Amino acid sequence: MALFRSLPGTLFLVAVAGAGLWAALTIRFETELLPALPPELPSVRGLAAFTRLAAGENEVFAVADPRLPLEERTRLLAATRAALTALPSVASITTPAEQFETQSGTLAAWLLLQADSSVLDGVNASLAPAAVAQSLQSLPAQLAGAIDPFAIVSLQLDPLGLLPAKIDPPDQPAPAFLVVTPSSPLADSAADDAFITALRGAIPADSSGKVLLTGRPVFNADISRQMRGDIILMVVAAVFLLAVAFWIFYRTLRPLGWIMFLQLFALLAGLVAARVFFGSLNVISIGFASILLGVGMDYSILVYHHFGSPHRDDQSVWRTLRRAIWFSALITAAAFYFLALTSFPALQQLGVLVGTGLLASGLLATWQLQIILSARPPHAPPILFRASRGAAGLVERHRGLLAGGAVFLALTIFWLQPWSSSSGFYQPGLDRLRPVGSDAYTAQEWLQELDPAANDAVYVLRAKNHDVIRGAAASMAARFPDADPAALLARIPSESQRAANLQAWNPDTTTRLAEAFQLAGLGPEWSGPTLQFTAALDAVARGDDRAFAALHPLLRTTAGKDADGAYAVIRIPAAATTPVPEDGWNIADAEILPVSWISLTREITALAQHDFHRLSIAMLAAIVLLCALAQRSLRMVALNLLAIVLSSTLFLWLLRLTGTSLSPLSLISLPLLVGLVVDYSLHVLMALKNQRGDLVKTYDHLAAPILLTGISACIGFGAPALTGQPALQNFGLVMDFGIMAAVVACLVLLPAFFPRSTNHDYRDHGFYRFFYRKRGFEWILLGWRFLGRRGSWLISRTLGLFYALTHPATVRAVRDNLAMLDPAQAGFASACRLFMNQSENFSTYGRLSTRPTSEVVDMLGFRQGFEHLQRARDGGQGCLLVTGHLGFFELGGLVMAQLGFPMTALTLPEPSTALTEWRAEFRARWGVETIVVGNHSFSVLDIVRSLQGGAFVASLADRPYDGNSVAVDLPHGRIRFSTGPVLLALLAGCPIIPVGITRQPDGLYHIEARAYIEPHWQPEGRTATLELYTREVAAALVPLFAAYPEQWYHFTSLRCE
Amino acid sequence: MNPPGIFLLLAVLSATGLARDIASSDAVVLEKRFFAAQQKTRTLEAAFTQTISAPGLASPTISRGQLFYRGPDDLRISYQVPPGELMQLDAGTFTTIRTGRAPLARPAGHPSARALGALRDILRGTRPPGDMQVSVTRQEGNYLVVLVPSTPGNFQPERIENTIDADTMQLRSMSLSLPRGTVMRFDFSAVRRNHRLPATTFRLP
Repeated sequence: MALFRSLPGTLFLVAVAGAGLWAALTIRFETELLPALPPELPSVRGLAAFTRLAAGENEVFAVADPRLPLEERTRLLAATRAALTALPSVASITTPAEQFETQSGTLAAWLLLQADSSVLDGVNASLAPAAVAQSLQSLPAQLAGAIDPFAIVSLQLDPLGLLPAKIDPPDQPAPAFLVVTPSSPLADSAADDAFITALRGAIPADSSGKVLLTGRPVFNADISRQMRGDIILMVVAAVFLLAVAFWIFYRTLRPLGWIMFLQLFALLAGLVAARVFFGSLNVISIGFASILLGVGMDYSILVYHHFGSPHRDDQSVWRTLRRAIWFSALITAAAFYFLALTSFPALQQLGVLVGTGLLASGLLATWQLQIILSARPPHAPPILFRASRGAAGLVERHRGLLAGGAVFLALTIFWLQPWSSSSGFYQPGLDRLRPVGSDAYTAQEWLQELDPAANDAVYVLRAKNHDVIRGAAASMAARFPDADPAALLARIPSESQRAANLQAWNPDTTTRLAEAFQLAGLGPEWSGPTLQFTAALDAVARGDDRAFAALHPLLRTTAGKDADGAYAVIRIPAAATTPVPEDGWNIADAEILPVSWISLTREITALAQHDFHRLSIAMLAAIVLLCALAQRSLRMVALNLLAIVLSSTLFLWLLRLTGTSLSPLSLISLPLLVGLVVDYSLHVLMALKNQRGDLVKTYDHLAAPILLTGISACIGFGAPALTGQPALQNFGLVMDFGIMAAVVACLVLLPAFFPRSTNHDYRDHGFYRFFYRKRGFEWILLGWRFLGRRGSWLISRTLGLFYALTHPATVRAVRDNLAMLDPAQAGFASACRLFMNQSENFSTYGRLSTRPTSEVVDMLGFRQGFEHLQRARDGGQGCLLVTGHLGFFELGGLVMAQLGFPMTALTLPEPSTALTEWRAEFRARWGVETIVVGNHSFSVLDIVRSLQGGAFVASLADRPYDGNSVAVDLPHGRIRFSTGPVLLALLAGCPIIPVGITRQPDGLYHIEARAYIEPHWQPEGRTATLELYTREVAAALVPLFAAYPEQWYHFTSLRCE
Repeated sequence: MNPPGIFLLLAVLSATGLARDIASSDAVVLEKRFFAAQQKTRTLEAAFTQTISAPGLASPTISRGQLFYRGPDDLRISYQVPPGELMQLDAGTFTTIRTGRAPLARPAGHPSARALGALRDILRGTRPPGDMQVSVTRQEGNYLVVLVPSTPGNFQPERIENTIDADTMQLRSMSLSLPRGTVMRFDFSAVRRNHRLPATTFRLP
């Protein structure tokens, strides 16, 4: 196969495949959303810390549907518990209440240590020997009479009434959920998956869907599995849709196989980047696969279209296309790499992955795909080109309408006001980032629903010790009128209070109490919890650090110490909707981390907007710079920016009409769209420039590929909508809208703003089209009257210079023409002088108009070769005066007419009929007749008749207006000369006199008539005759051009190969 | 954390007056019969003896009193020993009066009232809430109906045994096995059904 004939190419593919395989096998899946968010945000850290500290790494929670009746929930959980208990991988199953109850004595001791000294004083009073004896003696009496089972159990737990507050039973009688602990720690996703699969398999059938599992292992197992499935789903969907789109355009799938094969390597390159730079894929960056497929396909499609077109063998076209693809890949990859500057790890990953993949795509398309396609060139269906031309014609016909519509569209941005917070384009809610619909998430929602404190604001507080945290918590409570500081502080440890309380505790209390229970005839069933309580305090007082070890699973949800210092989880009632005061906390020493999606939303919004502004500015600056470097034209840069404005407005309208809003992640991704827009606008503008504004040719090359690449990019970004990741769904939809807007704006609207103005033909330039009209000449005449000769001279030459400075393409054309006469005289200054000379020629119309017609002869200086003209006139026959666009050639006719020659000027139609007529009338004042040359034969007959009637007909030969021309030599190049004058002379049987009129330094005009040429039909035939005499005419005129190059006025390149 | 509806189980049991090893389908039929019969109960009065025994307790604690029910809401357990104590549940309030303590009035939905509420449900002839594993056996002239909560807990009865007269289907006794070996037992006698109760029966002192 052609592909593998290139050794470097084969080695490259093998290397990418090997590295990609390694990456695929070793990459991790980052399943949680929080690591995808900026870690510096307090709420991100709060949520992460709470998840890690409170929920536990290994525990799984089984939750019953809260919509079911209580007894049904209880029954389902009981059945589930019985089934799960039998699993060997389950170490224990408890309820929160049970966890509390089994360690109630130790927990009470822990609480007492943190309490105020007065509380301990009360406990010590109850533990006085007399008080203990009395309590135990009265216990049987307490069991008599009106006592309910719960009170009996409570009495067993605390027969001495030591605890200051009665422990009320919770309102919720049944366990809200089960806590399932695995028999061994869950080390990785595979272990999570195995454990969760076992649990789900054991849940009774009638509990299925009514009892769901949640917790870190469940999310990890589910999302890992879902992410793998999502990647496959996205790639399969993208490949299928791309195949359909490709077939619709090109009616073949064979090359698509190669394209997909190479895209696979681009995917692997992205995967390698993910593995090397991050080691993992997160919930957002998994979207890279389909995005890369969609966007990276662009380059392959362009290459395929090129090899399917008739220009496939044109190496210059291929080199241009290859350069454009590399440049485009660089710009788009740069746009993605810019995402690495965001604060969001998810987008940083996505940017690096896709950017790297795009560079690989661009390389593979222009390298390996080129090898494949050049070996077996494809053929694009002709209908593509017919459709492109039809569309181009349509756009061309409605150019004005499209331009006006685009301007109106752009202005509607002031009505849409996307910068206003009330516009609704941005919805800061983070709900769309969470995997709604998964069992794990549903169960989490059920837990929140069951939480009696769901309206509480929750915080993780961190500081060097818990006394500092207590101070901070007290300050926080002061900010909320309904908060009870005492309740808030009750579960926060206090190092100082603990030390003071331990001083007041007698470490021999348990021994004494045990004896008292024994004396009262009460066994361990009655003394157990109380002795557990005092034993814990005794152990701590004796310095036993393990005294509260059994409480760790309970305590870690409220307070503790880890490598980062002390922490505590606190709840402020009814503050869930306003977890952070508007003016912040102003609390030093302690770090307050809200465990709140509400505060997270606010923080994310602020950061996303900041990132959006920063990235947008950076992206625009980069684009302006890159476009300026690539195109070196202020106008082209402006047109690229215009494309961005139009695309943005269209995009906003799409959002508005579909009711779609931006999530924080899609907001930050908008600068990415800017890169994609410029990708399209660059292709269109560069093609328009190269085709000199010819939209038909531009569409021929680009319409189908851009449309298909737009569709493929939409497929790439849209495929993630099929996944279960809401963040990717919104991102994909927004990007799709952006791409649609970009394609329409760049392919349909942008050409309307390209009024052939960047065409190299000066006649398409706005300046020419504005001034080269009847009114322009009238202004010249008016200006001469008001400004006089000096003023007009100054203004006209200044305008000429201005034109030269603002029309670099035209200057390049002029310099090219000058170089054919003398390369040494083809500098910028010479070109500028040529423009100024021509401008002065135009102002001379004003001079002519203000003076009597007879005085035109006074403008004449030296005359040379007049005898040839006399000879022709004396012969009584007409004569064809052939000249070039040299000097003020118009003057020649006027002078000759004044000298008694019957002059007729042949002209091409001017841009407007009014101007044609105006100039004809102007010449007529001097007696010069005008014949406008058209494509119909009548004008030729008119001319021949005039010549045969004795007229001197002036004609220009150095700018053929039709295909009747012959290449003639210049000193350093070749141009084409019209064979029309020779043909006319042959038809009329008249001679030809080459003539030139040039301006001299003294301001007078020099007329030089050259050798008398009498054409006759040659035996070699018509063509040979025309070529022979045309070259003779050229040989007479070219030396005049060379002598006065700065008066040889051609503004498009005449060079012919 | 809270004991499940303890008393409710008795209800279920009393509904079943069957032979030993009653098939579940038969149990369902009998349960329906029981509830249907209970729905005809307008009033109920019975004497009871309450015995609380526990490991580690030198001797059982015995109390005596009278149970009153007037459908659909009023249920009262009055103690003669110790005198003056009572537990009363009506439509909205659960009241406890104990010697030497101030009367305690809590909402009828309070967890402490749930056991009494379950008993009231049974007397009304409605199925009590909760989740119990039920077994019914016959011992001599009685049916023994055992309820075991599916979800054990330190504050919940671990087992409830009800003895029901096989002929009259009257509840003879109820025994609650609490955590740590504690047993709370009620023995009922002089059961009178649907007789007129004095209007002042449910008046609080």
